[in-house]
Amino acid sequence: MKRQNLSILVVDDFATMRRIVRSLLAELGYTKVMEAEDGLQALSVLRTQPIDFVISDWNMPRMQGIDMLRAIRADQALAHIPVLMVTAEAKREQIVAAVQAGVNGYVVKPFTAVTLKEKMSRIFERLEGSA
Amino acid sequence: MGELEQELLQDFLVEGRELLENLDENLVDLEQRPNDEELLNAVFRGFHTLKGGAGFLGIAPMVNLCHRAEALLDRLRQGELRIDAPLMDTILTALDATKAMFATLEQGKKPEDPDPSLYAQLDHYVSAPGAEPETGTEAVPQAPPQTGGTGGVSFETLLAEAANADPPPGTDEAISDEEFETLLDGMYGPGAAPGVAQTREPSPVQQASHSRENTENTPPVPSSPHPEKISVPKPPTENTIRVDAKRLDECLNLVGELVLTRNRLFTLAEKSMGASYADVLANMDQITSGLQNAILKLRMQPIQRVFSRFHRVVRDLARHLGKEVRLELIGEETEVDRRVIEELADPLTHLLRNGLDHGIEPPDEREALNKPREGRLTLRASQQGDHILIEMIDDGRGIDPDRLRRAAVEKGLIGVDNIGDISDEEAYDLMFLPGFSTRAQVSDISGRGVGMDVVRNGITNLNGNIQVRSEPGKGSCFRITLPLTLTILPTLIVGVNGQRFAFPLSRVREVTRLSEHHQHRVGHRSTLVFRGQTVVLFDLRRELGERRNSENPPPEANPQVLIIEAANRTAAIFVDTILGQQDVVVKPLAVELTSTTGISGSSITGDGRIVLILDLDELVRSLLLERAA
Repeated sequence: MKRQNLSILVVDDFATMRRIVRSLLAELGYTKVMEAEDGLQALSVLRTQPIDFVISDWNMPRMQGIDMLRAIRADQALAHIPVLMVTAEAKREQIVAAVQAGVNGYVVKPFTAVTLKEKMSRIFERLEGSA
Repeated sequence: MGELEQELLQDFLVEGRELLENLDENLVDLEQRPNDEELLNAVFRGFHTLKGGAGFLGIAPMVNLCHRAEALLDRLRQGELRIDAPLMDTILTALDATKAMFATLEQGKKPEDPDPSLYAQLDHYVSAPGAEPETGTEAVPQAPPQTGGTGGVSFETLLAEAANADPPPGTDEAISDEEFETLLDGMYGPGAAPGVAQTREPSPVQQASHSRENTENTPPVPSSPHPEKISVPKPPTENTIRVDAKRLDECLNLVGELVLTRNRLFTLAEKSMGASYADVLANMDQITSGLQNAILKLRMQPIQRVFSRFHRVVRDLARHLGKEVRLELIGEETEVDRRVIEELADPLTHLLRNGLDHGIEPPDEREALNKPREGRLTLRASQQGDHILIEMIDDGRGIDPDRLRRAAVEKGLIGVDNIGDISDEEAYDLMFLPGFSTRAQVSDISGRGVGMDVVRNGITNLNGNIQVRSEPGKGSCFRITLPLTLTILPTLIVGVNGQRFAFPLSRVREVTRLSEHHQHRVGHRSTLVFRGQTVVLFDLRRELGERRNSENPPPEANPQVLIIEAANRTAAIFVDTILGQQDVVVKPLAVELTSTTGISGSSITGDGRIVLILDLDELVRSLLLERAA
C-alpha cells in the first residue's frame, strides 16, 4: 500500500485550520483525509472508520488533544494508530507530557508541507523500525 | 497570493469573525465570573486559534498581537494575574485591534502593527510580577545545554524534569528534535514507536497485511482489512454550507414572482376554471406557500447576532459613566430576517446607550433610593404571531412626561397652548420628534448628534413601530414591533383615480365614511373629528391622482376615509374605492422611481395589475410640509 493511500484524520476545532492541513496533505499527495472538530468526535470517527494516521491540534474544546491521545493508546483497537500533534510552541514540559501519553511526533505551527512531510517520515521510520 | 491561499484567507476571515464575536461576549462574561476556568480557557483558545490561523496565512501583526494576548491570558490561567477592570480594558483593546486587522484584511489590504502603546500595555501584564515570585528564564538555567552530538540529554533527565510536578523555571524552553527522539528512544527502545508494543501479537488479518506491506517496503501502518475498499467519506462535520446572500435574494425574488403568478391563477380560476382544477390549485397553493416560507427561513438569523455585541457596549459605557449595570438578554434565539438584523443594530444600540446614560442612576443615588446598586437593563425578543416584539426595559429613574412637554415647548416643537391636550402617552412620543433632546447639552454618550427621531426612523424603515411606557422612579420600557418578514406585506388595496395603491395594513386603524364625522377647517388645513380627536384630513385623490390622471371622476358625495397612523400622528385620508385586503410581495422600485415621494415599492395584484405601495410616513410628512409652506 502506498503511503499516499493512507486515511488521515485531521482533528481541529477551527475549520480553516483543518482546511489548511488538508491542503498541505494534498500537496504531499494524501487525498484520503477526514476531519473531526475535537477529541470526542475524533474518537467516534476512529471507532467507525478505518483511519491510519491522526494529525491533531492540542488545544480544543470538549476534549483536548492529549486526552484524545491517551484514549487512543488505551483502546486496544486504536492503540497502534500513529498520532502527530500540532502545537503552537514546542514547550519542553508539554512535549514530555505528550511523549508520556504516547505521541509519535509533534509539529509546531505554522508549518510547511516540507516540514509536515519530514515529521511524518520520521514517524514512519520508527514504525518500520519497531515492526 | 495564490488562489488557494486567497480562499483560505476568506475562510479564515469568516470563521475568525465568529470567534471575535464570541470573544467579545466571553470576555465581558469573564469579568463577571473571573473564576470560571472553562470560560477563561475558551477565551485563551480564541486568541490561540486566531494566532495559529494568522501564522499559516503569514499575517505577522496578528500573530504578534494574539501571541501577547494569549500570553497574558495564560498568566491568568496559571493564577499569576488577577482580572480587574484595567486588565480587561487592555484585553478588550487588543481584541478591538484584532478586529481592526480583520477589517483591513476584508478590504484586501495588509494590516499593520497596532499602536505600540498597546504592545507595551500587554507586555506590562505579561512580565509584571505575579501572585507568585517572578522567575526570569535566565535566573535558573534548568535544562542542561546541549553537550554536542546527538542525544546530549538523557531520557532520565528529561523525564525527571517532567516529573517535577510544579514546573520549575525553564520548562518554557523549547525542546529540540534531538531531545524528542531521545525521549521516544527512552520510552520505546531505540528507533521504536509508541502503540506498536501493544500490538506485538497482531491478529492474523493484521499479520497478513503487515507482511504484505513489509514486502512492498511500505510503512507498517495497519490499515483496514480491505484497504482497496476505503472510500473517501464526506467529512462528518460539514452539515452547514455558506451561501452568498445574493443567491438567497435571487431565490426570494423568484418565489415572489411565483406567489404573484399563483395569485393571478386564483383570480382566473374564480372566473373561468371548472371545479376539477380546484384540487390541483389548492395543492399548488400549499406548495407555493411552503416554498415561500422555506426560502424566507433561509434568510432568518437568530437575533443573537445583534444582541451579542451589547454586552460589550454596556460594559464599556457603564465603566465610562461609573455606573453598575447588568444586562439581561432574553429570547436571543428568536429568528428575524437578515435585513432586520443589519438595520436593527444602530437603533437598539442607541436605545441601550440612552437607557444607560439617562435611565439608570449612579450606584450611590440608587442606594439612597433603596434600589440595588446595580441597575438592570433587559433586552427581550419574542415572536408574537406574525410580528417580532423587542423590548428594552430599564429599572432606572423613568421618564417624566411633564418634563417632556416642557422641553417640547422650549424647543418650539409644540405650542404652549397645546400642552394640556397632550396625554402622557403622547408626551412620550414627543421624544421621537426631530430636534428633541431633554438635556441642555448633547451628551457625548447617547447624544452623538442624533436624536431619538433617528431611532424611530430606523424602525419605521423596517415597517415597525416603537412605543414607550414609563413610570417615574421605576423605569422605562421601549417596545419595538417588527414584521416577521419584510418581503410580504399585508395591505389594504385602494383605488384612487383608477390607480391602485397599497396601504400597509399595520398602519390602518379604521375604515369609515366621510359623512359620519364632523369636518372643519383649522387654519388652512382640513380636519376631521375622529373619536373626539381632531385629525388632519388629506385627499389622496388630489395628492396622488391628479399627477397621473387629469380626468378626475366626479368626487363621490360621501367618500370612504381611512384613519391611519403615520409620521407619529393620526391622519385621515379619503380615497375613491376600497378594493380589499391582500398580502403583497414587495418588489423594490425601479431606480428611476426611487426618488418618488411617498412610494416605497410596487407589487402585482392577483389580476395582474400593478399596485404602488405607499410609504405613509413620508407621504404624510411631505403633505404637512406642503400645507405649512
